[in-house]
Amino acid sequence: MLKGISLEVPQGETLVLLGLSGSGKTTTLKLINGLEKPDQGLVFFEEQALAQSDLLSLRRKMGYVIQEGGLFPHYTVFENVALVPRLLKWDEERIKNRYRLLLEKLQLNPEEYYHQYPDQLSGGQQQRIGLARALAANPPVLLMDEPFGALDPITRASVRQEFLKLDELREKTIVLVTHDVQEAFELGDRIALMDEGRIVQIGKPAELLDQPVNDFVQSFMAKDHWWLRLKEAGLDRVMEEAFHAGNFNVEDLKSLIQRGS
Amino acid sequence: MKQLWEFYLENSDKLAEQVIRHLNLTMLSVLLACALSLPLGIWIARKTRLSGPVLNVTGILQTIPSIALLGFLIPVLGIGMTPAIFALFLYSLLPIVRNVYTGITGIDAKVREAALAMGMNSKQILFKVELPLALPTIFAGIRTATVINVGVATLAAYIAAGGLGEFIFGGIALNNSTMIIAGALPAALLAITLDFLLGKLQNLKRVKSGRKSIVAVLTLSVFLVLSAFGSGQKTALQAGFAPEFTGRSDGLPAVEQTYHLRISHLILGPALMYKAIHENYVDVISGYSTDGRIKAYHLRVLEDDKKCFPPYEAAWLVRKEWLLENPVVAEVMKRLESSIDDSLMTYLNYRVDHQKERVTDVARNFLKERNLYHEPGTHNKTLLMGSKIFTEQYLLTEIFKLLIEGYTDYKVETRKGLGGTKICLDALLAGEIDLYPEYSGTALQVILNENTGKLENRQEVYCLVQEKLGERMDLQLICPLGFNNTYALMMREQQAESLKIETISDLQNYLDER
Repeated sequence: MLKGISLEVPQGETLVLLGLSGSGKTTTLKLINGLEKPDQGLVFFEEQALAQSDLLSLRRKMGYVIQEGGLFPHYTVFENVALVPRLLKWDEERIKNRYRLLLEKLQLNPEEYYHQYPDQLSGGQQQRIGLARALAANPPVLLMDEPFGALDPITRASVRQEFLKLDELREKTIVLVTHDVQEAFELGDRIALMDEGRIVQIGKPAELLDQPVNDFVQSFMAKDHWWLRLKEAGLDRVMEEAFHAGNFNVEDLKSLIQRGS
Repeated sequence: MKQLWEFYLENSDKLAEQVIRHLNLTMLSVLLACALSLPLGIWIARKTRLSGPVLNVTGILQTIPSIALLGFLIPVLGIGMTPAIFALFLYSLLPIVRNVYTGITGIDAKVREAALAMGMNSKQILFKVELPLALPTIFAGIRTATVINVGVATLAAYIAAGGLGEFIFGGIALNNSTMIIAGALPAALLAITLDFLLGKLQNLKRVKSGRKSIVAVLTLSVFLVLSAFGSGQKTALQAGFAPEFTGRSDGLPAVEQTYHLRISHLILGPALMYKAIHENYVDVISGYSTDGRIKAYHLRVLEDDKKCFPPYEAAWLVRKEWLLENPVVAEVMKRLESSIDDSLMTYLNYRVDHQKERVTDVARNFLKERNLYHEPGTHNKTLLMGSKIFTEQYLLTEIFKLLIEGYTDYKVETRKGLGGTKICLDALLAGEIDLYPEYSGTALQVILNENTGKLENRQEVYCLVQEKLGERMDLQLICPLGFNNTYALMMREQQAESLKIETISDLQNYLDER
């Protein structure tokens, strides 16, 4: 399904795989931790080809967050978070300390949720516990598949804001899959726009906006164009550009104000 | 209620023995089934291509009638606990395998994906994610299997494996409702209790108590195996008797009283007894003197030299009221009165049981040879004819059906396979059948509950039965057929010959010498 994918993610970068459903972005993500195997080609992690390395220990070094959390329904919140540290044979005291620290950072009361089961939590809470589970063993890499996909727009924005503020994530190499253009621009150091199993364009958000390689890239961002420009360039330049371009109308202005950014 | 209580007081040791045996059968078979079904279910959940064939095979096993399955197993596994447990084991497979499979494949794909991505190995995924999540479904399967097995285990009484079926089938054979309930009630309680306990076990979520329960289950199974295969005392020859024979005063008690015969015996289903003697699992059985399998399996009927078995003359039992309304039928039936003797009946049975001829063909040929066969004409009226579950009764109903349909405008509908005297009688009294073949001795003992002491004379017994049936139930025997299908002890011809046993007295002498 994937064709000619070639990309490199340097340490500490957040790369966003952006595209419509079926474009191959989730498959690309799963190639990284070996959930999918390439028919041809190789995947390297820390200079080592994936096929040769031990997948289990590799996966324990890569936090994994999926839509709706993918939490184990038969485990309590604590047991879910403790999962990978236990696989790595941390002692219980260290696991508990780590759990408390993480939940506090995610603005959840560690004691309150300790014994609760996932089905007792709201969607936003589940998502945060899913993130805590992925971060528990402090992995250098974080893979995220539509991590905010199941949330309503308001919760989504607030969880995303929290996410940006987390110091836990600063040092990490992150690959994030989303179909949401705004999310991609907000979170990504670089964006790889995918379509039909290929990477159409990869680069910094501004590059995609300023130098789209083809009509597909341009049209993909057309709806959010002005908002994205605003994000990238600031208000003064956007207004200037807009009136020069002459195609900025009242509707565009309204939607800009509505978003309140 | 009072009767039931008294029955339990009298038979308390038997009750305890049967309940324990019933538990043995049920739990051992379910444990064995779990041991196979869990890995099998997990395996087909991995290789879903194989799930279809595996589930189909276990499904087909489920559809084999229990008695037939036990019959198939006699040549391979013999009689007693082993084939019974094996049969129950086969019946447990489907519910457990299916639920293990459904439980595991039903787990949210996201959860499995997350488990993989966390770096769990396949063993960890199985034991920490898949099995715990599938557990409620798996337990539901085990509970279903257990409840089914408590029910099916009653049939184990037919192959000398004991259990509460001994009371139940003994009761059915003897028309003794108290005895039936005495077996059925504890069986029902057992099913409910086991289901309840398994439900409790399922809710023990903690791992430690989980381990404890595994230890408990293992200890229990060792105990079960030990208690299951304790052996009793044996005489030189081993007998296998039908529950009806051991219970009825004119059966085994009569033999013991008249001949002072002491022989260790197992309880066997009447349909399986002949197979068991043929396969050398027992040496003496209680059969019927006209059974076709006597000829087929080369058995010798031991002569009843002291005349302990009362006559069992075959005739048709009808309601008097029905007879008055349908005199034509009785008139036609008279054509076959006293026209079938013992050896002819044995021969007819033999042709069906052993030569595998169709009942209809044998019946039609029989009538043709006597020039009594006519093609049926138009039908205006209907009569309902019943029969018990064995060849002789099938033959009699078929012969008389053809006869009546040939000579009258009656359409005969048959209700074949009514399982025992009590069921036939109840059907007759309720008007669900109009007539069925019955035997004078059976009527005396089972229907009238009459213990008259020794009655050797056939005529005497027939008259007595006729009189009592009329007085108490408004029933009547018509058209005596001329043969006497009585109880008989029988042995394999070869063995009887080499031991020089011809009569029951010979058998008793032989046993005394040992």
